[in-house]
Formats: sequence, structure tokens, C-alpha cells
Amino acid sequence: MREAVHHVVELQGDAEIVADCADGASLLEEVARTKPDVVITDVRMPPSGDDEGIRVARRLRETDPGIGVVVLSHYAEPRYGIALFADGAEGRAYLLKERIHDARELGAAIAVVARGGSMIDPEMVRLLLDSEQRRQDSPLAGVTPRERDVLAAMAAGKSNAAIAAELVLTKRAVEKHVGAIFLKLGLPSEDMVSRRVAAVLLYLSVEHV
Amino acid sequence: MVRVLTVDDHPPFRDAARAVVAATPGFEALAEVGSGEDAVELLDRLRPDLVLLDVNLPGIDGLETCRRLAAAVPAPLVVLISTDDDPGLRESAHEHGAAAFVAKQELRPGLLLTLWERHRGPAAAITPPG
Repeated sequence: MREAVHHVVELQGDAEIVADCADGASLLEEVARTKPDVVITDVRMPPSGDDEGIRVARRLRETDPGIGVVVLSHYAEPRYGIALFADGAEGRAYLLKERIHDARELGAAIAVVARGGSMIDPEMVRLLLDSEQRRQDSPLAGVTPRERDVLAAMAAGKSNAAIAAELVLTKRAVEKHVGAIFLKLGLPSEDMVSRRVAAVLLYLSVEHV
Repeated sequence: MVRVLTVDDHPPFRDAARAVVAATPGFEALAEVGSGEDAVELLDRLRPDLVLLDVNLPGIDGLETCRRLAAAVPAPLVVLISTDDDPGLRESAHEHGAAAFVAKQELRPGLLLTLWERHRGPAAAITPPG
């Protein structure tokens, strides 16, 4: 496995291996020592032998947010994806091992996460969207039926005033619903317009409208 | 599969765009990046078929990025996106090398399919690279 990764990295021209590690603890030590741009890790590693690679990725999000992480796995396992992307997908890639012999695929993933982008195997994306876990953790799960009506009206491009008229609510009540929706969908409080857009897109993607 | 690269500096939108793309039959989300420079630099490595490109980006803006992407060989189909509608850009998108301009609120599977088929034919006709 390591040989295959070495081979792909050598082919890139603008990347080099600074360290090899066999377990989570030595990986964190080498990260602290060599400060790499990117970590390529197996999902399974000692000591836990289960999802050590994901744990390391989450730890690095806290300690070294600028380091990109490419996680390699034999198969798309939804719980790995849910854990890996729980704090966002920036600077993270999830690739299936069957793909790493395609030098372009792994090379692209390294270049993408080094720049803070994300690359997720399509099978994992599908599983994350479709899986039972996703349904249970659906971002819309905590949204009340009334808030869902408001969200549907937002998705139709209606202003708060138009939503108030349609649902026979005061404008103030609509604003409260919209605020609650943003909160429940976990949208950061940047400017109001982009939160509205993100909420609508999330709704559309979940509802497959 | 139509492989889609999303270029937007807002992570929540990148997540939403990935979900919309994955919900589109015959499409898959290839990668998401945060700047026009990243998109241009990674174009050769990623070889996307379609690029969803935010107009308002830090660094080189979406229109300049669009011109650079459209000049590449092979050039991806570029769809300009923005939070705010821009009737002028709807009219002039092709002058910048884009297939279309759409407001982010409009982005959904049916629209992606329509745009792709209008410019490149049935999505199923695309063969994977390599």
C-alpha cells in the first residue's frame, strides 16, 4: 500500500514524501516534526485498528487546520464519512483504495486538499445522502412542519413578506421561523442572503425537488 | 458520468452544491475548491466536464476564472452562479465563455440536466476519462 502511494506521489512532480508512519501516535508525532502540507492515511490503523485515520483527521482539524488529509479506505462506509465530514469537508478527501492505482486520481486528491478543497468518492457521497444514518441525522429532521412550510416557500424564491401573506403569519413570525431554520440547519451567521441560499439548497437537495 | 467541479469560497454552499450534483442522474461531484486560482491550477489534474463557478470570488474573480477555464483544451462547460440574480450576466454569460448564468437559488438537478443537454447532449453519453 505504502509503495503504491510512494509511486503515485513520485509521479506528481510537485510533491514529496517527508515521512512514513505505521500508527496514529507516530503519525501525529511526524506531523508535529515535519509540518507537512498533506497527510495520506488509511482509515484503519493501530492502535484502535478501527477508524484511527478518521480520528487523526479530526484531531488535525483542531491542531493544524491548514493540513489537508486524504483518507483511503477499502470501501465506502457511511459512518466513516459522517465522522470525517462532521466538522466540514474543507481540506479533506475520501478515496477508495481501488482508485489509488490511478495516479491521476490520488494526485488530484493531494493537490485539492493541499488547497483546502474537498474530494469525496461518489459512492460515499451517495451513501451519505441516502443512508439510514443520513435520514436519522437529516439536517431537516429537527425542523417543525411549520418551519418546513416556510423553507418550502423560501425555496420557491419568496420574500419574508410574501411568505407571511401566503402562510397567514406576521412578518415577525416568519423572521422567527427563518432564524430557527438557520439555527437547526447549522448555518453559520454570515450575511443573511447566503444563509438563505444555503438553507434553500440544503432543502432542495434533501427533498429532491 | 458528468464530473462536476464546484468553485465557491463558502463551504456551506460547496456542501449544498455537492448534494445537488449527486442528486442529478448521470452526474457526480468530482471536487470542490474555494478560489479561481485553485480551479485553474487543478483543471488539468481534475479534468471536470462541468464547472459550477461562483461569480464573486476572492483573488481572480469568477469572470476572469471563466475565461481561463474556457480557453483550456479540453474546456469544461462552465455555469456561472451567484447569490444575487444578475439579468445582465444572464444575457452576456457566453461572452465570458460560460454556458449560462444561474442564481444559486435556482440550482437543482433538473436545471443542471437541461443545461448540460442543451450544450453537450444526453448526460449518459459521457464516458469516464482514462
